Amino acid sequence: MIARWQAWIHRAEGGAPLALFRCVLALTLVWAVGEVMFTGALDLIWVDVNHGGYRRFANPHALVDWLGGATPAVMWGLAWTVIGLSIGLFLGVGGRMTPLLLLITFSAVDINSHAGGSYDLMIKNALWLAVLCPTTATWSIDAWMLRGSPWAGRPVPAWARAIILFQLILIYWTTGVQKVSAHWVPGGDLMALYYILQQPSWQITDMSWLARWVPLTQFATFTTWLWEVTTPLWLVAHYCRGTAERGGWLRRQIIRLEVRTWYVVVGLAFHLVLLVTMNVGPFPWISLAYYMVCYSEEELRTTAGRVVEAVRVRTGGGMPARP
Amino acid sequence: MSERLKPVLRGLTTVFLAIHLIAISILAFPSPSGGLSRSDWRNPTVQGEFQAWTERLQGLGWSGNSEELQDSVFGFASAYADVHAQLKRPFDWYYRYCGTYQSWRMFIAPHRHPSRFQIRIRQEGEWRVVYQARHAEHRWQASVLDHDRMRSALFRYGWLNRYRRSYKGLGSWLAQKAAVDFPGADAIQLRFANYRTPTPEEVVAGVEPEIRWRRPYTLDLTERHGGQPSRGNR
Repeated sequence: MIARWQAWIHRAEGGAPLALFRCVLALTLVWAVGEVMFTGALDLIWVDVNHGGYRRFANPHALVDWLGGATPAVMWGLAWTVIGLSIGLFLGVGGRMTPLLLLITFSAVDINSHAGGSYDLMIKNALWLAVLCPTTATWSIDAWMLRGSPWAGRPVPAWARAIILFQLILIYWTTGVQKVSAHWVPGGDLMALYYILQQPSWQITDMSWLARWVPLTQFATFTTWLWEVTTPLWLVAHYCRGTAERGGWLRRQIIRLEVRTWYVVVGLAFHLVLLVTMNVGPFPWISLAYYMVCYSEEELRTTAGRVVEAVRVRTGGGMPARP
Repeated sequence: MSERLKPVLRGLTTVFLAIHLIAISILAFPSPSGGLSRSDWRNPTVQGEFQAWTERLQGLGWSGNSEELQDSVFGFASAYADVHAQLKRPFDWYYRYCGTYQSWRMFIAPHRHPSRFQIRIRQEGEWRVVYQARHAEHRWQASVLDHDRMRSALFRYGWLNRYRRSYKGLGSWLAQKAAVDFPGADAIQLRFANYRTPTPEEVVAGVEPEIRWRRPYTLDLTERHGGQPSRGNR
């Protein structure tokens, strides 16, 4: 049994999904820190009250302490370091050392626990996963230096994709089972999303127009709750897809019904709606990074090939030559 | 790598992965810690939730009231939180040093009594609104105050009467900026408009929510004038 599990988690596969995860994570970090820098919020949020900020940070982080405290020079320096390292992460330089340094510097920058959200935790977890997983195995400068081409990948173990997906599903499932409000749980008025979208803290614009679309928000509330509390099925579907050769009626049905793809589609739709209705910072983008590992490189290549073929046929490229 | 070492490395990797998954699962598992404060439970949003659950349980035949439900939930949650704390203790180092902290209480309940942040300045004896959250015209310092990280901070300061020092610190920071941007002003005031979110029926009927002003904090500007203009809009 253990040997079978070991063989499954250590089987080799293409590294493109890990490279995509790395690239989207890097862009998210540039956004998450760059936006604080260029909106002028950095001096308020991350600088100590004695140096021009609004909060006192007693022993904020060992690195900040060592550098002399949360002064503007230190915090701007660290923020620029995060930007520089993020570019390095995007390009795939330095293997696991780059995300490790990023984890340290981003944690040092993110010292104001009042001014942040779950996205900061998601970013830090993603950085640690990038330390554990060989994300520069392909599509990277590392691959270029080691094998002569940035696209010349080497196989990666399947557990890498699985633990990233596990983290994403753990986030969704645990947030779902904690939604015990009478407005969320079926059997109540299902008005949770309606009221959440009226909260001024996260609104992009006034959402009172939803008062005339209550059934829509109730449907969205029920769908969101159901989707979140059942996400462990997504993990089961991922496992079934990875062990398709073992057969079995239930496994075949889960694969045939594309259970995994349904979870991906609903999840992406959820983040798209969030993106246009609420300002929750880099949350949709860091979530997107995790979605990059939902499919294997082989599946991505097959899908991309089909899309290219369909486009070629539609544009006439696939028509037989005239006699 | 030596072929003989490969199985050993694989085995060690498997063990580490198991520890990683167990550690993050334990911490991510629902925990009431942080929400176990009877004084915080007096918030009208929390009371509304207990009332709704009491009515639902009464509909199923339970004969208790909201107070009894709160006592039962508090007792159970406290005991559960103790067990949870014991379980996660061996992994504290892993959460702390590897950035694997897990806390995913995202929008677990709608805030039925939200707060809207507002800033006013006093000029020639008249109060004038210069910033109001999500307002199209009152936009002073909006590039900073509308940033998602400040939204998060202001949500906290408007939700509870805690974080007094941070709230006052924010007031001082804004006063410094206001003294430069509004040379004729002699005072600045921060406050929150607190109200019950109107139901859809009330919105359609055009009923305006009743506003209760909370946490007013007024600072004198007369001794702060004379700095450099800030980046914010007037």
